[in-house]
Amino acid sequence: IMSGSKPDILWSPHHPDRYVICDSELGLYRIGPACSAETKAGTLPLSVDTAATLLAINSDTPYMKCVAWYPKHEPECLLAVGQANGRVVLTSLGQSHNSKCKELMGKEFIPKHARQCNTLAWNPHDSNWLAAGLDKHRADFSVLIWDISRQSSPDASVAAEKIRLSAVDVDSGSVVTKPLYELGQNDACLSLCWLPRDQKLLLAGMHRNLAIFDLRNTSQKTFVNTKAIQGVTVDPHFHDRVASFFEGQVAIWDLRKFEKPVLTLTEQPKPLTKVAWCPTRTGLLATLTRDSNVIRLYDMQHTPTPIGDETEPTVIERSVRPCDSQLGSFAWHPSAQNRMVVVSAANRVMTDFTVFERISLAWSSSADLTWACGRHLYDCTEDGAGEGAESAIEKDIATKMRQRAQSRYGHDTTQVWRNHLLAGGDDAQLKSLWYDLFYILWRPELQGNKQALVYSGIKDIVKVSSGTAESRRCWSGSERPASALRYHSEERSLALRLCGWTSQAGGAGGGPEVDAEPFLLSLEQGREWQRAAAVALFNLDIRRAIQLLHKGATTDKGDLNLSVVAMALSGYTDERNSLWREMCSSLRSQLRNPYLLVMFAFLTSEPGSYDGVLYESSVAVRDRVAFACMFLNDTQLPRYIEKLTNELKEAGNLEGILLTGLTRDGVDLMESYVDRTGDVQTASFCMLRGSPGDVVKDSRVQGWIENYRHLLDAWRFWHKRAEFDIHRGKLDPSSKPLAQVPQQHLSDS
Amino acid sequence: TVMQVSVINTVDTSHEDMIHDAQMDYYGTRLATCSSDRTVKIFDVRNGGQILVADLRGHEGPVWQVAWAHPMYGNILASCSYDRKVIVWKEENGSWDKMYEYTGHESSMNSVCWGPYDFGLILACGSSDGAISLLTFTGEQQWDVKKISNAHTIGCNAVSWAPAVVPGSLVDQPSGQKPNYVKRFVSGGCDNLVKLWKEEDGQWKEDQKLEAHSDWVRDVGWAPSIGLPTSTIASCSQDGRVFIWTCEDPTGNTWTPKLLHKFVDVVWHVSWSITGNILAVSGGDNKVTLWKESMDGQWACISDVSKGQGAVSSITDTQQSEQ
Repeated sequence: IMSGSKPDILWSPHHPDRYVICDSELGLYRIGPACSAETKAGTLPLSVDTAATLLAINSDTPYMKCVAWYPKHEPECLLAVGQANGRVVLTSLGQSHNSKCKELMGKEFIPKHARQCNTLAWNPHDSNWLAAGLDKHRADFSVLIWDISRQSSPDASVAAEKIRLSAVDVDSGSVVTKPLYELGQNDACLSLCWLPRDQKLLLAGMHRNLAIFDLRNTSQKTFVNTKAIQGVTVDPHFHDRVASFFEGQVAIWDLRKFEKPVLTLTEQPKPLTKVAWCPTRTGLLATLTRDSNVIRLYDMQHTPTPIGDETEPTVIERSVRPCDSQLGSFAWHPSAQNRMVVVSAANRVMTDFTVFERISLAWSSSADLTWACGRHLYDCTEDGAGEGAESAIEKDIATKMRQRAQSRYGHDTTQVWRNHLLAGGDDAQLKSLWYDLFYILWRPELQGNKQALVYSGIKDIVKVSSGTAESRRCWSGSERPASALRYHSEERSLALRLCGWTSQAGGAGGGPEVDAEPFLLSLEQGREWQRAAAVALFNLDIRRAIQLLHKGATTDKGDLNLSVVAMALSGYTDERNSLWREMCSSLRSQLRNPYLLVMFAFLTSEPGSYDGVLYESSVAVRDRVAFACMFLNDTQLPRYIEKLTNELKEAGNLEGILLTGLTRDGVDLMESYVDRTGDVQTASFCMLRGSPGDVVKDSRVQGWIENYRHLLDAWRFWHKRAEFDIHRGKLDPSSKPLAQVPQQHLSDS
Repeated sequence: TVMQVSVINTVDTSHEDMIHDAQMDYYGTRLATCSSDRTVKIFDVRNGGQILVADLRGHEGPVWQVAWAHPMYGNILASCSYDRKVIVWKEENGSWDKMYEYTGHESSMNSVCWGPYDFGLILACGSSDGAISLLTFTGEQQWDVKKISNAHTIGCNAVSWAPAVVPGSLVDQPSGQKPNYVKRFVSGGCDNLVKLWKEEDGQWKEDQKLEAHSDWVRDVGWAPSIGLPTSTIASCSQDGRVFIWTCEDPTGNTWTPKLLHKFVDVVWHVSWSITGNILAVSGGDNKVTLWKESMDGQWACISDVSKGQGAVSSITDTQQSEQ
């Protein structure tokens, strides 16, 4: 048995699922899908998907130095083994009933002088020819080409030779001692390969040079002096390109200018043990060094061209790590793309591995992604909303805008609030935005002197407060005055209407009486019990609040806890240090619903300081602002609104449009919204409703509109784009249809 | 939030060797691919189909990249190859022909990219000889060539144009005049650098030099601007890192890198979605990952496309069908 033998792997030339591992013996394996049901003894997992089964073992040939698989279909499992004494033996794995195979089996080819056989190479055209490369022995030849079909001749000298060898291990009928050709006199041969371009040309790595022998004229050879004489191998895709190595360095040769390497690859710290071209892909060379757990890949991204090329070709280096252990050897699969089997240096652990290719990417305008890998293309798309409402997966904005464009989002100009339904109805910010626009745009009484406020939000409206009155009202249905002061003014009433708290038609006078009932009814319809109760409470109607909470508790699938909250509410007293206050403080910490929280915050707060309500960020902006308009004085109110506006602008929160209106401030807010989301569609439709002379002219707004039109173009939504342009033309009469960039004269040929 | 994506289609392109690039046209109806087999192929991909409509032969080496021009100029495709050539192809009456062939470089042409349509028909080409060429169609079969020599030592691997943005406000433009666009693009190269270029008075000048990578820069991508004041560029490298560069400074002088991720293997490509919201990244680990910036400015991986499918399993499929 060979000591310290390093394992090697050979794929069957004709069976894509078979390979041989040779170390001290030969093992034939079949590779197949890893199938848990079929976990037989002797099945070895090679990867997640594949496993190998040992089919046959052959330990008839000791002192193996190299192995080569017979290239023809039949006999299918014939191997030539080169031994430490220079002999070449034909052997096989598994049973074969082929008569030719039987005849060849055990046949030996013996050199005149014993020395190590380093390499074997079958001629790819004439499969009877087997080249063997041997160590040097004085002036003897080191490259012998054997004809495996040749019978042992009863030549006297050969017979004498046979006797001299050994009578024990030589069966006289199967020994050949006369090679067809003898080459490389007074030299050593370390590696060999036949050149695919001509079956009579043999490339050999000799002691100090690479030589090309032409069998038609064996007295001549082409050669180049070099140290890189190990592992000569021809690129299967470019037959003039050859790799060879010396210690840690690989040399790449072009046989057409066989004077010096066209390229030397960066040197590796340890000696190389194997170098192999990928058979399924051009220009990919894999190398392995001693004591290494990585395979180093050199991707030569070019084709050798016959033109004299002095510039160094581009080489991309990569390392891949097929498994954790140190690698003994590897072999590319002959036909599967970029696939190899590797075997560990110890214990014959095998791994099935694929080297992944550079993947190129391309987005399409409809948010599909295509990528190329190897010879295949993959097309990938965002999954549809098949999972329904429960799916928490958020779609990309491009997909959303595309769907919204198809559902005519933004185009409802009469019932402006309905646009949020066209957008899908599931986005709270869009809902808030379109309701704001609805309230802002629908102000029939705004004529004459209030023209300036047409596009304003609450921030500008409450700035110019005039004649604010304050009043201390009683709790509804009781004689007890509430501790909180209420403020009234025309501007504040307008603000409450923009918040949606009071009806649009009535209460234009700005009087102290606010009819909240229509709003409460609409909240009831929407089953927003807690919010409705809070609104009732802020309108100082505890009874209505309690009634709403009871309703919420008893209506189908109601929350019974609401009754408990209602109960707590009914015990309200404004006395400080009361048991009720104490209990409320502990109850508050258990409440989750923000509206219930702010109710108790309001009831337990000192008059004039309502931070517990105003800064509860889970409460809708419109409700907090409405509350502020009722209970903050003329100094507090603008300060609070200013602060809140800046926060919402910073965050790009569309709820803030209520405060900014369709002003430059609003454009600032929209800008941070677009920065955050990329939703140019909402930005365009929203800002088109602003003042044509001012906001719509803003370069940012024009930019969003242009970007949106380009998206519609890219999606080939020609009609949608035309509709959008018409819509835009109505709202912004100054927008002329954009001139098409004139078609340039592009002449062909 | 995590985006759900899946591979819906796998196509054998009939290319005889590795595909290097695949690009969808402006409308997403045609796909151009190019390969080491020296060909460029065009497929009609409408309605989920894949019909080969053209097989363009003219290159004498592997074709690295293809790029579609804006459709307002007709059906025009540029390709670049190891053979040192850039070919501009044009479809006329259903047949594709060479419109222009550019051979002004001494080494492999690695990258081509058309400028925004507002600039006319202008093509940037990066080469292994380290230079970048800008080809502008001037009408009547004439092309104007400007060359930036020694843009990247050892070679230029990728070029990508900035979106057309006008400095200052649109409103200030005198009506009837063409807006005064500034032409800018980004390039990445074997000197580990990302460089920004700007046209001033008809001359191309190096505007910025961005240093962060420690190995060859493989790809760069300037994000489409959807009305954003911020410019954003993605770069990826052999060093396994992807950087997102942003510039909030209106003068364009201060660029800040943010590391998106450090991958274990080389990163080949970066690609922005149509709105610039999602970045697709492909790497040597055979994965395509999708990234999105969260509210707090952090980049998060929202999807990992090859998980359980895609390239890995299909290679097994191929192997089985070959048996």
